[in-house]
Amino acid sequence: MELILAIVVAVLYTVGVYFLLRRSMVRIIFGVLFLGNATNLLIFMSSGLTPDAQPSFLNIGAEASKQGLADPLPQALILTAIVISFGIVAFLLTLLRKTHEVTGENDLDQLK
Amino acid sequence: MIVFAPIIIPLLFIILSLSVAKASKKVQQTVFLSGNIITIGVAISILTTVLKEGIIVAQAGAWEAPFGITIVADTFSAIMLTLTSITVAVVSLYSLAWRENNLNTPVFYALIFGLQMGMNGAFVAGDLFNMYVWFEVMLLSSFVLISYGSDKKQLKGTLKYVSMNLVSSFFFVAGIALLYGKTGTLNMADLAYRVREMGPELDIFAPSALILMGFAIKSAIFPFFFWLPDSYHTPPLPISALFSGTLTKVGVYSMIRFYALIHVPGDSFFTQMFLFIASTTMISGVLMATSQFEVRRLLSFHIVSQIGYMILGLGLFTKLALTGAIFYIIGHCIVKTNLFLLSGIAYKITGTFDLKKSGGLMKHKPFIAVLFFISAMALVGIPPLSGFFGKFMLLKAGVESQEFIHVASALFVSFLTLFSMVKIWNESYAKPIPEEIINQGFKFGKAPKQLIASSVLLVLITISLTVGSKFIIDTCATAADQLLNVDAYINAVLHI
Amino acid sequence: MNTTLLQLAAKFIRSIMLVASVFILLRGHNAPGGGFIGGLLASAGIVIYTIAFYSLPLLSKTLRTIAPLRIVGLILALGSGILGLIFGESFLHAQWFKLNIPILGTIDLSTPLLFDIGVYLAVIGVMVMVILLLMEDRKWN
Repeated sequence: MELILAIVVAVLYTVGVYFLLRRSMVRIIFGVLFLGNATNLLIFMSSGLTPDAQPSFLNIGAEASKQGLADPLPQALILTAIVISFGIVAFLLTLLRKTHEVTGENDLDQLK
Repeated sequence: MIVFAPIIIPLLFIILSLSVAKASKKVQQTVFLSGNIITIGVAISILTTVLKEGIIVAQAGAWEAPFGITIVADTFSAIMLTLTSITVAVVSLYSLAWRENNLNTPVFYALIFGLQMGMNGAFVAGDLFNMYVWFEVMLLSSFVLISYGSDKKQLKGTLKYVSMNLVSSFFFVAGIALLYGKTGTLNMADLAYRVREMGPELDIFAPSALILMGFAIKSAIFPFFFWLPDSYHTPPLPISALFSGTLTKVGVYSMIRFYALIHVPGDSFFTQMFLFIASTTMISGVLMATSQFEVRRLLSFHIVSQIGYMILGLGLFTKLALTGAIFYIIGHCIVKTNLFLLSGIAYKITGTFDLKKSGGLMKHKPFIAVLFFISAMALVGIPPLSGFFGKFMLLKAGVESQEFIHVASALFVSFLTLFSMVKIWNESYAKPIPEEIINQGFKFGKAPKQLIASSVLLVLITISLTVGSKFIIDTCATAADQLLNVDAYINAVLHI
Repeated sequence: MNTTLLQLAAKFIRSIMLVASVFILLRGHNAPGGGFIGGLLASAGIVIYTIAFYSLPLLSKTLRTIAPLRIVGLILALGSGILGLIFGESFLHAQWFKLNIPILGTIDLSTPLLFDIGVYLAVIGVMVMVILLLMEDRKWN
């Protein structure tokens, strides 16, 4: 499971970077969305996915008393990250719309 | 409880300044200025409390340390709080009299408070994820501020600024995720404790590198500095001044804080890298500045070069070096903001930011020339002005650690900085207005008194840094001590 | 977008989504849900209604009524934190009150609920404002 998700994260990062490097401005938003989702998945993976994994907030050397405990923290972190990327995407949309209005361009290289 | 105030008060004033949107200009401006003054008061009272009683810790919602959100203020954060709140207040005063770019709106005031809330939050955050959240608060406000007015050039700069800073945020979060997976905690004191407890077999190299890379992009150090000179000169001048004074310092602050707490003792890879980066940052910034004739661009490249000095302090990582770096941050923040403010005043008088087209300021306004001279010499580090103490301590620490190459490059960069400042002086102040400009019907404009008054305030602070240098250096030394004494930090937060 | 089918559906969808959003907001303390998700649902309902009955007067009326919610929401969220500071040990310290109503029994009221309601209102205000402003045809000032 970890391996599959790791590959998914890698693919998402690749796609995100590819989009960020395109010349079209709309692609920047896609790139940011992909990078954001890749990072969220990475946070999700970081606490372990298999049923017998130990929650990572335990003390050094300690073991959980009961099997099947999940780590609640990454979900809270992901929710926060989602809210933040929502705000950023809203700003980016407005910025790109404004840029398009002022310059009439969608191509980053033509912006002089 | 007072540690929460730097976050609560700006938030309160965001709400206030948005809800008085329909009231008269006078009311809005009173709210704006009083918010700034209250923030300064809070910051200073935190500084005095920290100096008297040591590190202050507060837990949001009374959840105990590794589990809840911890707010920590030690001397370094208190210094940064005071410094940024003073800078923001002076720039606010300046922006009220700027009268261009439609800056006097409730939204602008709310954005300034948002920026301040983000910075203050990043200074007092006690865990990494919380720091990331405050970074984002700061960044979102700065995104809107840097595109404020939506000039064509500005939007282009904004795109660069936004995309680079977003990439750096993703580096930061990815590092946080990996660090959490490795150690199981994000509280910085707990992280420091676990890293020290488990020693070198705990491999946190990759997460640390990712997080430091995020900070490096935010603080515009080599090789990630290119976005800064391309974007910082585009927004309305008060906003450029604010950004150049404060924003990159937040990146440097978090770098110092993170490295000081969460490095594996005895591992010299990062310090060696910091030293190398410090020299390259200093040199590349200052060399690129020499070819510039747009005064805001020139000053922007100088920000890059002077970030290098602060990183040099981090790379040497001795008490003297950190003291010097912190002192340098204080002096640089004030002086750099003032140089931007003065270039704005010069713009009001001569009508241009282009050095080749301006001139004659020394004859026309000798008082402004004096203000510029003091600030420029403080930036270069001519004794007895503020830049000198910081640079001297850094160089002395460098000689003590026998890093002669880096000391030499720091000295070399100082000379080039002097060269740049002399260039501004010659072009804008000493030489007469060029013939062809006069033939086009040139007339001197007027700068409002309030603009000059805010610049005078900053010059007075620069001078008081010299006069009160003993007290300030002592405070910086306390801050450096606390940074190096990680056990005290862990004890204050976790009680172990 | 003035099709009858969508308009007919939008009326129902808006009311259902608003009720569901309040339900999700209130169950948020222990079960999945909460202010942010509830706010998203509610704003989606409002936006669908505005799209179905698209006209400039409706747009500006919705904006005028909904946009101030973001300030109210911020005030509530900050107020819940300050209440914790006044009655409790720390900023955001949760405070619980019991309310006895004769027929319904006891209801637990708390500052986390107040915080969630604040988030709910702020999210509605911001979401609706962002989407409607991006939707608008005429140029922004």
